[in-house]
Amino acid sequence: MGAERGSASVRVLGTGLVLGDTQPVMLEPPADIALKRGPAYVCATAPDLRAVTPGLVRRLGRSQRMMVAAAAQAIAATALEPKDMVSVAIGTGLGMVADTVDFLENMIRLDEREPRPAKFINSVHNSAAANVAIAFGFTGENRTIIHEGISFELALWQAIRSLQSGRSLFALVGGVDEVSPYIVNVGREKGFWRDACEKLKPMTRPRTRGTLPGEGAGALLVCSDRARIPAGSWPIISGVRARPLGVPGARRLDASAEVEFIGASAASAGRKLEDVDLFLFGANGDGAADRAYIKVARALEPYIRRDARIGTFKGACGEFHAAGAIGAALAAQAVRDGALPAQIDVVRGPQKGGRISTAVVYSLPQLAYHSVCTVAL
Amino acid sequence: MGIVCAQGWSVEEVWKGVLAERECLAPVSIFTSPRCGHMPVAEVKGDTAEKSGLADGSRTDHLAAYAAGRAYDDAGLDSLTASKRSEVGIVLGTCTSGMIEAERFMQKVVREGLVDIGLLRHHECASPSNSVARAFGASGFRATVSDACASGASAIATACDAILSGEADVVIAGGADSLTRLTLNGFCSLLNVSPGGCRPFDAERDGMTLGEGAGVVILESESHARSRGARIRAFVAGCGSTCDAFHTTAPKPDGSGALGAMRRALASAGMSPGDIDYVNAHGTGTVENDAAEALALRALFGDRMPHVSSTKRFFGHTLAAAGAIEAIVCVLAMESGIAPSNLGLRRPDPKLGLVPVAHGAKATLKAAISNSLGFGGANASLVLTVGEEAATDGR
Amino acid sequence: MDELIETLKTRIIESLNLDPSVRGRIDPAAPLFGAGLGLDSIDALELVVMLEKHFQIRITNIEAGREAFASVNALAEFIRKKRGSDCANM
Repeated sequence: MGAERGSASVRVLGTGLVLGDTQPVMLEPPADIALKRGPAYVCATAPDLRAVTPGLVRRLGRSQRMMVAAAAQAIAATALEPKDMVSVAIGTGLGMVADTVDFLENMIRLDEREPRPAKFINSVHNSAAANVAIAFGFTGENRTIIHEGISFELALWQAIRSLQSGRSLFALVGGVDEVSPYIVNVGREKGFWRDACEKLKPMTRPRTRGTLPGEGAGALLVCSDRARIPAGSWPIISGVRARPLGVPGARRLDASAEVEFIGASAASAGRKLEDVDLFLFGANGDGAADRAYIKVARALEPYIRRDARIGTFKGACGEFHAAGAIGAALAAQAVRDGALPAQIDVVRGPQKGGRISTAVVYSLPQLAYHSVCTVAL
Repeated sequence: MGIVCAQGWSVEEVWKGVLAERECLAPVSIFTSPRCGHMPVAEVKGDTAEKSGLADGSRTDHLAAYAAGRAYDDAGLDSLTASKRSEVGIVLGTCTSGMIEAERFMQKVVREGLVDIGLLRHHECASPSNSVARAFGASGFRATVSDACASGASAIATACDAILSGEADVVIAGGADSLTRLTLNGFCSLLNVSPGGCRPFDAERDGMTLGEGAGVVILESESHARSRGARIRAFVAGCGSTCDAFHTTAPKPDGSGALGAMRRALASAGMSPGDIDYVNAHGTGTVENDAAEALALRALFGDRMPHVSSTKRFFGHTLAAAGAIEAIVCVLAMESGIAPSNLGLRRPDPKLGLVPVAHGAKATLKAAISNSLGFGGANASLVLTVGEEAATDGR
Repeated sequence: MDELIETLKTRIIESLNLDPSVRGRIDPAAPLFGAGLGLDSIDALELVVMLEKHFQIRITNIEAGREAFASVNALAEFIRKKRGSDCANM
């Protein structure tokens, strides 16, 4: 294998989003399990996939449904050939958790008497990626990354590597996670969640403790410059980086190093910080995490334009490991349409007006990692 | 390279077992399974917690950290500066991660109405990678791959991508999985598990055998390895991945997915089928997998078939560890000039047109292919070529 | 025999998460798998569990399942035979 430090452009041809209502609801656990109810952002309905995969639909779990639906949106406008040069890379933080829990609960409760083969198969963590491949016939590379809050960003990195090294011409990149009463209860015990059933407003109330769990799927269809694509201006996506923070935690966060981290990503798209129109932060409304983002925002201030915006998106979907996919899809939509999607809450800069042609998505998952990517037209 | 599996706690011990055709299958003992407890599995014997050197962690974390430690020592990474050591990357694969502990958690929830959070502390798939990172002070590129049975090989491929793109010079790569009630029951519910132990490519094969373990290799860019005079045991010459896009568990019967993965791996290595001396097949011992894989091998090699064997009966199907353990087996085969036996083979299935290595075959082996064909149709193939003697001029 | 066929239709729809409206389309003599209902090997495994749960018949290898699941009629016949004999295992 030759060393390939490709810098060929990777373009975004399509996006997909599966989200529920933007208001959290109270999630009820099954009656006979010792769990308590709690607020969560929930996809109001599992997407109707009959037009996409009539045969598979009855067996797909929620994660798989959301991912296939988001993928369907992302690829809708593009003729993808040849199919063996379309790769699939999915990031998911907790994998196929609901089907795993179902299989496990059933196994323990009934002392293994009535196993559930379909649930077991769905519980295998790459089944979202597998079902995307099966639904659309993509026989190229297929990779599932499960690494906490950088799962999606690593999947995006992997897809871009595959494109730049010529192993694929197109890549469907996605991120998905689903919520469940277990996630509500376990997160509550760990102190992640707040008790109030209220919409998150990240970076506006830094004294608030806790965020809220959410679910959803985001997808991007990306391609290398060797792909034959429809005429038009397609945003490039570059500067994808996702790494553990050298020193985790908000207090010792080196804000100027973070500014450099963000700047390097923008530079990979040939942009300076003053060129960036939208910084989309993965802040989730939990005070400690918010304070870290606010620190970074302040450190950015001298380098960005007066009319540049800093926005957040987890008020639309809640907190989950693969939520970066939502941010990336929204950033790509913003740049493609030139305007701010409704799901983004602006915390700095004008609420309306102005063109968006360069967006940077930045996140500090769990205050243990940092990730960044740039979308620009 | 570092290994732990039913055959033992070191690369040397494992290879000795392979050469001796040692059988290690027995019913599971680390947990009780009313329905599947009688099935032979390949269990790791010994105190995984103690041997791992970790203060806590799941069984899978222990296996991963142990194998990573052995590989780390084998590669002499301690000789790197502290700053270089902190930049070491980690890409591991896992399917089960902290599932044994999660099963205990579920037991308490369902039977006692108790939510015992501590049992889920190491549940997430990232836990083995993070445990290894903490143990070695590594804060460089880090990722966890979960591609079902292809995870270990996929992790090695992703690690190669990380090195070739400049994200890291050195990466700890491989996979780890423990036996769990979930996987044992799950595979049994697919009527996929052999009551007598797997017999890959055999006329009477009747299913797979589950195993557990970890395989870890230290991957390094060639320039970095040479500059520190590291002993290069093998090269990852090429990687190839495809997806069957056919069914969530059954492989595409025509073997085209596996064929595509092997072709891509060869292409990325700039090699052709005639260069390959040995194939370590995925060969789980199920009727479908072996049939599809045999078709793929025949389509690729025609009548110039290299030595082929599946070593799954030695270690069981170690899921995410399999791709890594089997890559290590390829390296050992090349180093020792012995293609390992297809343990369990009594009579090759005449329908497959494949005659695997019955008993260890002495041969000059310079290049090998290792296949991992996973659920979800994820296929990963690695091309490994023979390494070199260590540099002796004291660089 | 008709009652058993009707029960089997219910159980099949239930355990395979089929839309109840397909009930009218289930021809007891027609093949269950492949075309028609679009069932596959995973559905066969679910039916194996259904057989154990509701009829206390245990199938341990997939070949035996293939004969039993050829059609709803074949399944009913299989169950009647098993009930008639003493052994519950294949």
